[in-house]
Parts: sequence; C-alpha cells; structure tokens
Amino acid sequence: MFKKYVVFLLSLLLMAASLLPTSFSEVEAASYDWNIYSSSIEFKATGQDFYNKSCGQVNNATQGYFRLPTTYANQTIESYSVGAGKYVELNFGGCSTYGMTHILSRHVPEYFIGNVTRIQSFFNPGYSIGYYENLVEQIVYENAYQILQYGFTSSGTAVYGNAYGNPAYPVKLIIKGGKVITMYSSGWGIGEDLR
Amino acid sequence: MITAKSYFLKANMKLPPVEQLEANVNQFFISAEDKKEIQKQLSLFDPIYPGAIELYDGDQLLIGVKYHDSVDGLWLGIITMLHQVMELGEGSVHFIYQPISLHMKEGQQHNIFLSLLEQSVVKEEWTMAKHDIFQALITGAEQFFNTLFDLNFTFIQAEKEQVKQNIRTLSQLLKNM
Repeated sequence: MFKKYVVFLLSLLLMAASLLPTSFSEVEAASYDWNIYSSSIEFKATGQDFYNKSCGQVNNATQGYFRLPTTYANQTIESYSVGAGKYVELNFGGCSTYGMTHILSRHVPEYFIGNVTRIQSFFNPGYSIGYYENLVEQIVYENAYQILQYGFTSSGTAVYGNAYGNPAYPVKLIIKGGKVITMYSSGWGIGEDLR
Repeated sequence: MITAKSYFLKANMKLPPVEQLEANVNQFFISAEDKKEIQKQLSLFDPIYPGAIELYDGDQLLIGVKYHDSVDGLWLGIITMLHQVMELGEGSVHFIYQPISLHMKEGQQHNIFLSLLEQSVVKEEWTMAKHDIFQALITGAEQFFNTLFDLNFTFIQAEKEQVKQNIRTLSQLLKNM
C-alpha cells in the first residue's frame, strides 16, 4: 500500500515536471519484426513459430492463471487505485473487445488467435500471463494522475510505459470508462500480414 | 455527396485478412441501423465496441472496414476533431486498438484536407468541401449515438446529454458557416 502511494506521488511529480501528453502520440515503426501467416506467426529474430490459439484456449488459460470464479467479461482480475477513491479495473474482458483476454489474444504471441488489425503488433515471446498483468499495474501507477483526469470518460485516455524495463520498448495502454481496454507495443514488434 | 455508415463487429468472429473484409461486410459486421440484430448479438454492458466507419464520396469508398477499430471510440474522437477544426483549423482522432489516426486540416476556399496516417506516416489523403464532410460526419455521429441511446448502451449513459449537446453545437456551427 505504501509502495503504491509512493508510486502515485512520484507519478504526480513526473506529471508536473514533464507535462505528460494528454493527447495520443505515436512512435514511428522501424521495420517488421514478425511474419503473420494464416495459422501461425513467426518471430523473425529467432525463427520461432507460434501457432494460433482459439479464443476458448485464451479464456481457459486466463481463468486458470488467475483462478477466476467466472469468465464473464466484467469479472475483475485486479483493480488499481489512482486516487480520489477511484479504481481502474482490469477485467477478464473478451478476445475482440477489452481486458486481459483481449491483450493476450491480440498482442501476446503465445496466445494470439489470428485476428489481425491493419497495424498489428506483438510483444516479444517468452513472458508469462502474470508479466502482462504486472506491466498493466506498473503503467497504471506511473500514469495515475492522467488516468484519474481522463480515464473514466467514454473517450478514455492513452498512457505510456516500457516493457522489459527498457525505454527502447515503449508500450501504450488504453483506459476507457475506468477499465483497461488494451495494451500493446508502440512502434516495435510490428507484424507483416503475409496471408 | 459524402456519407458515413457505422458498423459493429459481430461477436466471436474469426477475421480474414483486412482486405477481404470489405468484400464481405455483412458476414462480419452488423449495421448500426440494425437495432434488432445488435440487441440479439451484442452485450450492451461493455466499455467499448469494435467496429468500423465507412466513408463514401458518392460511390467511391474512401475509408472502409479494413480500418476496423473501436466504432464508439472513432465517433467520440471525430466529434472532438470537428470541434478542434472549428476552433483551431485542424484536429485529429486516434484509433484505439492500433497506431492509426485521422487528421483534418482546413485549407483555402472552404476545403478540408483529410489524411489517414499509419504510425504517423500519411497513407491516404483527400480534399473535400468543408460543408460536405462536416455534414456527413455530424449526421453519421448523430445516427450512431441515437442507436446507442435508444438501446441503452450503459457505457455512454453518464455522458448522454454532453454528447447530444456536442452534436447540436456542431450542427449550429455548420449552419452559421
């Protein structure tokens, strides 16, 4: 609790010092890191292939990992205090909509279900479901003030953090209506659709 | 004449490559005008709705369902963008699920430059009459949000009057142009 309070205070100071952007900004992609095929994706750096999962498999893995009583979309996995008595919720969600299952099924290679957007990005392979929940938590607390200001509206807000503790791997987190919508690698880990 | 049409993505769809979506819109999407089907297929309690906006200039498709994202996020962003253009001469709307944005800038002789950017790189750009594109987007937004309000989508209830007021203000500004 004390740690969370310190993180929250630090985020306030950072906000004042650096005037964090309240509008969404983008980072230029360098090149394609992944090949997207009809039933798998290939991590070009290592040649590893990851075969598409079904949404049901993602749901089962998420329910099992967090030992959830239900798989309802609004089943809360975690909630994070951002001040003023407000909490951001990480919900079970849905593969195509929001929450933990969306993040896994859309952007995590081990759980990708094959639904591709125009710009499709992936995190690096080799990280557990718990890693992504911790990353959500970290980015929420680092940006608590901005989320408190803008994250509880229907328009929501985008905030940024880093994966792997490395600023070379920026990550974008979207909060809308007080809920975690999605989280993806920003400007790296881009896949080329070769289907 | 410019027109805008809204779609919700059907639940639990396995999507083909984005280019193939445009040839099979009804297989993967529900028109925002089809309230009966929306009620049948979608939960009204989610905080976000994947979908798409089609923007036509006459018969020419400018923006299609291959740019699917959050349909409610896009419309809320478009309303903000139109206000920004009215006040500042330019504005943007950022997609929620991917690094794509729409940018609108006022040009000479009542023209608007509308650009679609992927990761900050301009992929497509159009020039159109300001009145026409504003009219199309205001009408499109009004139709989309009327569906949400009529069906009592929960995420928008607290901001219902604010959204209506924003659309009314834009309509009034358009009349005074």
